[in-house]
Amino acid sequence: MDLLTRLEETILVAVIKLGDGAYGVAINREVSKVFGRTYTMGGLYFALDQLVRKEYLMKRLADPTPQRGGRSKTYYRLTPEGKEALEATRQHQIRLWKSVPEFETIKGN
Amino acid sequence: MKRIKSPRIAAWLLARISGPESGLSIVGDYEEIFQELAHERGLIAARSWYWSQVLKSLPMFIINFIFGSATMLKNYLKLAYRNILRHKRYAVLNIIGLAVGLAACLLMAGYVIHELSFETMHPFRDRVFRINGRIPMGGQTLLNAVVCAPFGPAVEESVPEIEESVRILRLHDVPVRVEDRDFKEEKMFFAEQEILEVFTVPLVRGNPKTALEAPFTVIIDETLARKYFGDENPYGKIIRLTLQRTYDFQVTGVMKNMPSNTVLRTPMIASFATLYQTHGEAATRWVSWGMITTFVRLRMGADPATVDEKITAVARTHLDEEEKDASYYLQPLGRIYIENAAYGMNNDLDNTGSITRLYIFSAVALLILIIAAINFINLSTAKIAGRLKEVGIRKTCGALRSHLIKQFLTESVLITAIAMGLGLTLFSLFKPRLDVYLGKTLNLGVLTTPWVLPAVAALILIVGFLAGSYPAFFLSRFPAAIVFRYGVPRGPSRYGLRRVLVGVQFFIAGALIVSTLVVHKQVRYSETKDLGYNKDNLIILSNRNASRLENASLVKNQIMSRTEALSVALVDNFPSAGNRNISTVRIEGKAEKEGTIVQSLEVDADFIPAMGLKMVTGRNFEQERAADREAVLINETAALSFGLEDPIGKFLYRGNNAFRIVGIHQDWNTNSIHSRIYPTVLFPADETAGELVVRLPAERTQQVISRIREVMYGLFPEQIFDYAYVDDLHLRAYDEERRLASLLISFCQLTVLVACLGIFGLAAYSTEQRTKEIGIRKVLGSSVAGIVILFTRNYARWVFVANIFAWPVAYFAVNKWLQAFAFRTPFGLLPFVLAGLITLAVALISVVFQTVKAALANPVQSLRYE
Repeated sequence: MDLLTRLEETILVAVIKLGDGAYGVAINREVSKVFGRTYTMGGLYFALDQLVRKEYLMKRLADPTPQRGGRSKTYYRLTPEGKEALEATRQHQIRLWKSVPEFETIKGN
Repeated sequence: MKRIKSPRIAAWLLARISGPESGLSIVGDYEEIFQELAHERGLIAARSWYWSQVLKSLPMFIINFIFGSATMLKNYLKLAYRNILRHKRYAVLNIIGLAVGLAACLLMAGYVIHELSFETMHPFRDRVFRINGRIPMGGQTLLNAVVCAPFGPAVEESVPEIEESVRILRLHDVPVRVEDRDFKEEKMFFAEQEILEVFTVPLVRGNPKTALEAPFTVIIDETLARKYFGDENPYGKIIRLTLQRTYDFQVTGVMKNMPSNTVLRTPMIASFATLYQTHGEAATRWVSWGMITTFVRLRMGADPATVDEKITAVARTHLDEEEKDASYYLQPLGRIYIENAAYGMNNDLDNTGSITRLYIFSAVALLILIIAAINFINLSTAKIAGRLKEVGIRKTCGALRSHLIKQFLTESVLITAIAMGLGLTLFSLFKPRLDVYLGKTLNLGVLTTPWVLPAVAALILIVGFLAGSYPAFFLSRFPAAIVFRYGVPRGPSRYGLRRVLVGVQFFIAGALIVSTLVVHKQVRYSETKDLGYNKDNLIILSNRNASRLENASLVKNQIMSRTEALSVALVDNFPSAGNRNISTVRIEGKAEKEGTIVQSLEVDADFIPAMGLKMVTGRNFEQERAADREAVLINETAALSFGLEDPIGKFLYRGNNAFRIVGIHQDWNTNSIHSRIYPTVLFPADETAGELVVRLPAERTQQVISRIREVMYGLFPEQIFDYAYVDDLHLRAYDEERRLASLLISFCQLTVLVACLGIFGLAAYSTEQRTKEIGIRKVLGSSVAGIVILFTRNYARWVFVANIFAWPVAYFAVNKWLQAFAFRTPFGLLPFVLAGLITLAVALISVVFQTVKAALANPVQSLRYE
């Protein structure tokens, strides 16, 4: 399994965090908060669609709401594969940092 | 919360590009943020956010779309690939035709862009102008690209707009001696130091600040450096140039070879300061005509329109009274190359380009591309019937119209891409040949020129879409039920359009063939026309020697007595290519203020027999008669234009000298046949004559020439032997036309080939469609010949009609082209008839071949299944 990119990882985490409220605007807000800069919606949708294509995310259309001009929201949810990928990436990160314990200590001091 | 209206266009754009699936919810997301922003920061901020988001997201959305539809795209490509394989023959015809068209188009585009790119390498080009003169002479105004030597410095000093001036003297066919080897350089400049600053002339050796300051210094380009000195460093070396005399020049710099797209292209630049020493007073005298090309660079923001008057005013304060009617104007550097041929500029820098030629070439390239695209459309629409079932089934299985359109477009773009690959190969193969035709190396390569690849990509898309759009949109229109029940819909494509398109192809082919034949004929005519003198084995010999005074007849007698030359004549101002020497004369008994313009040359008594000219009345010069120092011969045109009853014995005046007309000789073409024959006056040559005309025996001419060389070296060891065949000089004048002719011939072949491919494919298809008809006809007793005639008649009729339309167009075009010549070949009906026959034959061969095959088939085969 390929490792996730940082953006993908961040998006997946945001989706988990948002739970039932994970749709475009909310995810963008979450991701922008983490990175400290605003993502263009286009860039975000590309990443989201890629994740859907890789089957890490599922999407579901909700009922239209009036403040969106009668357009429905697309909600995203993690798939089991998505969870696996996220977990694999996390493990990789832990292993990677364990291999340089000095770094931890230097930082600690 | 109150809803605020979001930008509708942006929203629409967003929905379009983000695709039908997720489009709505994306628009919804945007809408939500927009509403929030509008309430917090106001409408304007929200709107600008919306737009900037949409625009910034565009590329990502497009990439997303491609990724998203990758599966379908793959499917389309697979289908296209299968279809190409299944209809191999059409694919091949299509691809070859299109490849040829595209290659031709690219080559021509490269050429046209090269021609339009002149002077783009000079950073100051927008502020650099050349001073041209308008010189009234004998009732007409002559344009002149040169002025006198003091002009440049004078206007630089007194016209505030002029920042810098550069003076250039251009010389041709200059003999060069390096150590003990002799060369002849076709062209060289004498130029001021400023040329290195105002123009882009990068030096690889030498100091660009001082290289051209001292007299007798010269810079050469890298090619010459290698030619003269091999791998040695040329800096500081001596080369010996022969102007009126022979001088030593020191090489003070080596420049990069100049690119082919500048009129300043020259392999050698010597310092202008040299001319003060070699030409003395001539380099400082004010005259209206002059011989120095003068460029000026204006100050930033100066208005060139106001400068014309100022420089004319400056010139008039210096010019003599009778020359004060001359005026001067600035011509932008960038226009020099493209404009002058059309204006009849005298003494121009380059064999200038012509806008006409650009038009011809672009038109021909475009025509070929049109023909190729027509083939494509024709063959694709011809296949319509065969693919309707496919369309029906796809629709039944749930394909949307947009899917079908995409599929057909993918297919045609794919074919175009393959054709383009082949086309680029052809392009690379033919590029060197084009260079040879044009006599210059186009700076153009598939990978090395930055614009080629994007242009190719754009062409693939455009041609692919255009050619594929008709079948794509037409085919996908019909509901499946109709397709299955009624079969082929009676669309406009069935016969009408295709026939018209074939007609257009043969119209173009016919017109091109006629033009090519006429151009070719005129070139042959130019080369072989009787010019009024015998130009075989005639050479012209330069006698610019170290001590030019009083020795012309010495040279002449030596050559006569010590070699086998048949005759030798002294001459000065012998005309060649574009140069003719002009004099103003006044004629006895005619009260003209301005005088008459005549072409003049100085000859001795042997000139008429040596050239093979014939006298009409009167007598030739006679060597012994001292009175013939004040006699002239005139040609028939002069006799006519002077309007004298009996010109013999009358006087004409040149300056203050009077000459008696003693004879009239037959007209001869002194220059190329582009120009009419001028009234010509032969004045007596004296001992300072600079050239010799030598008639060689028909055999062993090379030995005689080397014998003459020995004689010349014996007389003047320092002088470089310099001669040319008059014949060659004459032929050189038609280089341009010869190039055009050979290019047209190649293009003609291409056009006919492509048109032929088209009609071949079409015939193949339509006979295939009508197999059953043929079978039934045969069963009912029709003969093979009858069927062939029936099927061919249609095509023949269209080709014939196309030709009828092509003739007047071609006639008009070639007539226009022939206007450039004063002497035109009569071309009669033959080219038209030939073009008709060629196109008809080509079309019939393609069609008959197909039809005979079908007609010979056993009807049992074709009717078996019903």
